[in-house]
Amino acid sequence: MRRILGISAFYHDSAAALLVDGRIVAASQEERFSRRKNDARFPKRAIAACLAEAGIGVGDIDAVVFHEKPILKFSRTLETFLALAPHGMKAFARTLPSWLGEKLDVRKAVASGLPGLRPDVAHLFTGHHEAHAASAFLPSPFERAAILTVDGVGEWATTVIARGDGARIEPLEELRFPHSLGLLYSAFTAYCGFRVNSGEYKLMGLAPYGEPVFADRIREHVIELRPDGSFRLDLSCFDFLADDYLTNDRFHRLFGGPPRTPEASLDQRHMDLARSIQSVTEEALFGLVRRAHERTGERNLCLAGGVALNCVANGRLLREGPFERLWIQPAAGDAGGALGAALAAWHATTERGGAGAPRSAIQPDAMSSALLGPAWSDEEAAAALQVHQARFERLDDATLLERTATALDSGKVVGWVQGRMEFGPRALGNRSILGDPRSPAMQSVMNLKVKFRESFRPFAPVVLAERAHEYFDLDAASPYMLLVAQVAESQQRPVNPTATGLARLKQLRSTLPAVTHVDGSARIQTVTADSNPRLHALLSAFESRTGCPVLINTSFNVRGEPVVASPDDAYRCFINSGIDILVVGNLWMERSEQPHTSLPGTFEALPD
Amino acid sequence: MSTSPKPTTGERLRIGASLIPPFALLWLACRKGWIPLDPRGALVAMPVVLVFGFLLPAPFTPWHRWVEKAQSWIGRRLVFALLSLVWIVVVLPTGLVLRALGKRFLDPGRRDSYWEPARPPSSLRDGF
Repeated sequence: MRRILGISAFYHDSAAALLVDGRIVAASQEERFSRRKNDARFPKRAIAACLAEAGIGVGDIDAVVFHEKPILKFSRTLETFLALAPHGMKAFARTLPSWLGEKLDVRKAVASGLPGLRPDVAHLFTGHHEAHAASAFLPSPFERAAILTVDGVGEWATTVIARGDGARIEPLEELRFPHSLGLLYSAFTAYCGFRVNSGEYKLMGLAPYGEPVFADRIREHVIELRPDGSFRLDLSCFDFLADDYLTNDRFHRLFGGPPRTPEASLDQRHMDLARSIQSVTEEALFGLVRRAHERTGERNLCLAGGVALNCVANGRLLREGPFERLWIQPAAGDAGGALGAALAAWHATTERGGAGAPRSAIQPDAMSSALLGPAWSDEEAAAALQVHQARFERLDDATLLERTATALDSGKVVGWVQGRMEFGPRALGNRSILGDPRSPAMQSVMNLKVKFRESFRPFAPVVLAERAHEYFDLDAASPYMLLVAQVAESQQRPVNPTATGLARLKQLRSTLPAVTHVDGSARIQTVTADSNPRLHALLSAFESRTGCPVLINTSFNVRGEPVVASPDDAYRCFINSGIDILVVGNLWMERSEQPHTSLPGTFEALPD
Repeated sequence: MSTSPKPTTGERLRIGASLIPPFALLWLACRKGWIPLDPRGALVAMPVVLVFGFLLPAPFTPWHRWVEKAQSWIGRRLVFALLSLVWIVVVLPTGLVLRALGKRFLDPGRRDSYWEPARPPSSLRDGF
């Protein structure tokens, strides 16, 4: 088995990953190509992109690995309905049809989604958390590590502690459905009016505006945290088993009212709820991490699962937790399961010598900076842009960097499309919108006029790794924007401590106001010349011009849209949003020179 | 300029078949005497419209889409009704009996620890 295709699909955020001789050649999420956010359908477009990157066809695939055990998951679903009786009839009749098709018969779904597959291709299945654990440990820079995977639910497990040694992953203990930290966080996400499986990071962003006034109530009535790190949800507060709604009347009474509707205004109660659940989540995660440390005695920790995208908690785990080093899979959610499944299968192959064969950990990791998607050459981009009669200039590298740095310095917002697309939820500088973090108005401008999203949401800084310590209290590298740390005290500015709620947003909090959250924190991405040479060069050019080695880096999309993939997606987004400059490879475009003021979007807008 | 792809043979056949139901209803109504016409006319029309739709699918595509939507709507409701029946006949009594026998499916009850030994991974070839 030399060419292994990993797939995650049919729940949310479907994806594909391709390994050739154990090397991660390509990985992409289906949403980037189908233009439907969190697309759960069979990832045929993502698979095509992976195969194209490797220069192979469907007939060259030796094994297809699915990231879950479908029959085990189905049995959990059935058992849940038995447990719910006499409730749950509606949910049963609504849920089962999806199971009776492709979700259960994955082999058939793969065969029909991939015409041309060889008849002797191996159809393999890993466990959901087995895939997460493999995605967390096998590409990590560690030879040995504790592994913690935490998400909504897989087959039965919701949380798994494992030990990784060489290529072997030994699961040690688990917490089981429905007792799930991911489902708990999602319940509060839905209650605060955000979309489950995509709005969790908004809740996290809202938390610093509030106080943890509901935290005790959550601990008393909703989740029982045990001293050994395990926990149990009080199911009388939830409806996620029997209905489409995650919470019920008891939950609503506990927290002072009905759920917020998506477009209703956010009040202090929602901010306090966000802060409270964030606080309880961190407490629960600390319990899990302490347990993982006790059980394994390891010095390194690998994290994956949707909850590992909670970068505020990750930052605390790194600073205050018992482990010396932390590595988090950048595609920690279910998309990363595709990669983990393929990696798990490769490391078990007889060609490699099985799981007992040694594995050399790659430094800084085996993820190629998570730049695993497709790339477009300048010629291909020019051809795509000419379809729209776009007016662009082709610049040499030095001029391009100088001009971009100048534009950023003068307050312009730049769409930046370079090289291979990122795998995972974060734009890491190849499909990004960039701005000047020193500008006090930039957060509001980018939120409201460029991305058309809520004003409270913070932006993340990207910083030259060699100068990160001057601006942020962060001792470790954060190449995947998965760690939150405080802005360095020397950069902070005094604020009015009596301000509350969204009024705090208007205060000048630091020398980098656009990327400093109201609590003085920032979600940091560090860049080295090795990890992303182009972005590093741009940051260096901006630094030479302004003395500041930091830029705002936010994903290249507008509200409800998947991050752009192709030059065509980027041009449409550029025209339809408030971005001033678009740079695709070495092609330079200015909004004022374009023949369009709007273009039909290609994405399926979903409420977020 | 965008062009829609040519329908495949299967799609042409489905488009033609989607023209049959109105004539089937007409045939039924004639047979029952609700409409004073010879039902054989409707019977003859059915294969004719099938062939017509097959040979000339383009103008009937919107109709075909509408029929598909209606079929899907009816299908969903039928499946929902059928599965509700399965739930009433199988799931509900089984669940209640098992609960009466003391089986606790999802709630481990209050304990000092909720950790469970991890299930050892099964073979990669198994979907269970």
